[in-house]
Amino acid sequence: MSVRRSLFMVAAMAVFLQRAVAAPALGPLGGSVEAIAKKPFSGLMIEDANEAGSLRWAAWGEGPAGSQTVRLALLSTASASTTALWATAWPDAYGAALRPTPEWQFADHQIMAITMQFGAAAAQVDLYGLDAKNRPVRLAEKLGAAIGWAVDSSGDLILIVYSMPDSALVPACFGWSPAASQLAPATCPN
Amino acid sequence: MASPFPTSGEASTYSDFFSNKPTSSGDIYTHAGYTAALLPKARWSALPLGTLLQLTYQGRSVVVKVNDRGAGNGSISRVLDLSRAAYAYLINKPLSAITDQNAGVIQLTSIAQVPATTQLGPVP
Repeated sequence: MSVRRSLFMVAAMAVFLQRAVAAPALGPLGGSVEAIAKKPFSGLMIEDANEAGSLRWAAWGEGPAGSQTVRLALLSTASASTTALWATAWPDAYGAALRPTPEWQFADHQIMAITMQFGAAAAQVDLYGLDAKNRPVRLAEKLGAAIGWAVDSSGDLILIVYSMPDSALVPACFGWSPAASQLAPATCPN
Repeated sequence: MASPFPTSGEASTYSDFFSNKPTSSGDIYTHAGYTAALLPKARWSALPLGTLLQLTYQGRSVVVKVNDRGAGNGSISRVLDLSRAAYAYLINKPLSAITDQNAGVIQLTSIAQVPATTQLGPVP
């Protein structure tokens, strides 16, 4: 499936979701969900990228088990038709999940975390933000055996990246440094 | 083009945390299978998923199917993560005796590709 076709399907899904919230109804779903359900899509998640909700992140998986690709796109819903502004992909990845992190900011926008699997014991998290011109910026990438999130005793959001020096999981923790606009080592919560 | 896969190297085994989680190939990981994950990220494409490997450690050999990719600790000397059953056989202990706390890194003296028709498991 082409990226263009994939982006069209996601844009169609975004429009459908907006309409579904405005006018929930049983019966035919308007074609978008039915079309997507026929395709090898999985785990479609859509989250606001800016406060107004005129920009939205969408993440999803494509392809059969064993040869999936995770895609991330930035969509504009500012006009009557939803349009894709930007997209990227991770071949061989699966199990994508978007996690908004309103506690972490970049250029006055919340940072969006996308996590995905490359194997049972290979997980990756990428952090994305929008710059002052609303262009996507990749802020960080961490690969580990597993990825987790926690809140420390001060209420700060903590990213946990687990490695396996042998067979036991060992955590390394990170917080967001607004001054440096990057992840910074942090003490792991008990 | 990817460099040849090493013919020896370090290996360990999966944590209990990964039981029943989907692998890169779509299989579900279980301790009881005879499987392996390629490490580190630089070697994820060094062998096709589905490749069978015969591994040897201290005179004991086992055949495993490569069906996963792992992160390990990022070290290039670490070559494979083995399923618990494969690891237990190689170190000559029952599977039930292996835990996250006592499973260390072992040095495989031989890693050899074998035909797809080879039976998985201990090599008599």
